[in-house]
Amino acid sequence: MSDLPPAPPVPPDLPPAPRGGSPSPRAGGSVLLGIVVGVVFIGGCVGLAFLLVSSVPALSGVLFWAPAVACLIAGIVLAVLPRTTRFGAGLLIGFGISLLVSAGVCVALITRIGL
Amino acid sequence: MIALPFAGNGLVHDGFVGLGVAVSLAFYAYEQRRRGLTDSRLWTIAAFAIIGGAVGSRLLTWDVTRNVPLLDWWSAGDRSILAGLVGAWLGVHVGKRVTRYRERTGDLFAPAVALAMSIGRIGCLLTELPGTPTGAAWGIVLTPGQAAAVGGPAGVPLHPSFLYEIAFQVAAFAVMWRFRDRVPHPGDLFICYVAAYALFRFGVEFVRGNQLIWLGMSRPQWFLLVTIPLLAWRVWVVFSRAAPAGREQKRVAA
Repeated sequence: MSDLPPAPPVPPDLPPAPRGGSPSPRAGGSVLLGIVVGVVFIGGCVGLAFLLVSSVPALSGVLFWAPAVACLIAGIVLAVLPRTTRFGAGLLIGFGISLLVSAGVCVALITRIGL
Repeated sequence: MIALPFAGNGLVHDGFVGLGVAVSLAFYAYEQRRRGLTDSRLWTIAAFAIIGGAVGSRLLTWDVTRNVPLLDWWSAGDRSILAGLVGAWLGVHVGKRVTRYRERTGDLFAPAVALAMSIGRIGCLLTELPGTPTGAAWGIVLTPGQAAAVGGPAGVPLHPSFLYEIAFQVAAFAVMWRFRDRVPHPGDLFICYVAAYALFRFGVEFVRGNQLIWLGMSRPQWFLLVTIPLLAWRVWVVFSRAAPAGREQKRVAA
């Protein structure tokens, strides 16, 4: 019977590898494209509302709020669908950045026109 | 002494906020790639964090005792980064629920948040009331026009409190960058960062120049007085979990 070599010492625990979610295939779409579309879309709505604020105040408010809500809903739906997750997430990020940067200006505009 | 070149300029302020978010998103993408995370749901969670932060920074400060309608408060009420952080935290939880993502994400977000705040605060530094009066040589002195724009005293050196916060955020980012792969448990980095920021913010509020509401303390300080004990408990849990692991490593090595 041959002597077995002593078992090597158990190495100390290595720092855990950063964990992610359960492995999932890379979804379709481009985050960057979604961000650009979201920012440009909301920016366009704000610009249109500014242009129409003096001439058609009621329409100006609708032109800001309706597309903004539509953008949010579309972003959530696209983000949930596996094939468009990345684009939808980008759209939501663009919406969030627009909200963060320009929401005060937008709502001041809407408030001023009494909607 | 320093001047305040863009006093009350909302465009400059929000421009730096946008730049901060853009840079932090780039870092977030870099970190995902470096950690080998390819799950696209992480982007949806980031989106909910940004939306939650944007909404929270405006609406969670709503003071019902002032009888200001919510819509008016949104456009002209107080904005708070602390409220924004709470909103972002809530947004992350909503995003995780929507996407059914179950892993911890705080360690991925924490350095990105510090980076965003270090850049976003430049906008505050250039446009807002800097702080309380100081005798230090680095105080910011406002002209009468600038003082009228930001609601502060003219001709008196004021603490550059936002500069202090930028320094904290840069240091926090550097520390997290150095140790982000060495935390023993997922989420520990985020807890330590938030706790450190809460303590720092509580201290810097004494020179921030915010309205004092009771016992010489501002609203953020009263909010932090409630949250700091909770964070202290979480930090204690972090280090009490880490300590036995360290002892075990030493024992095995011996």
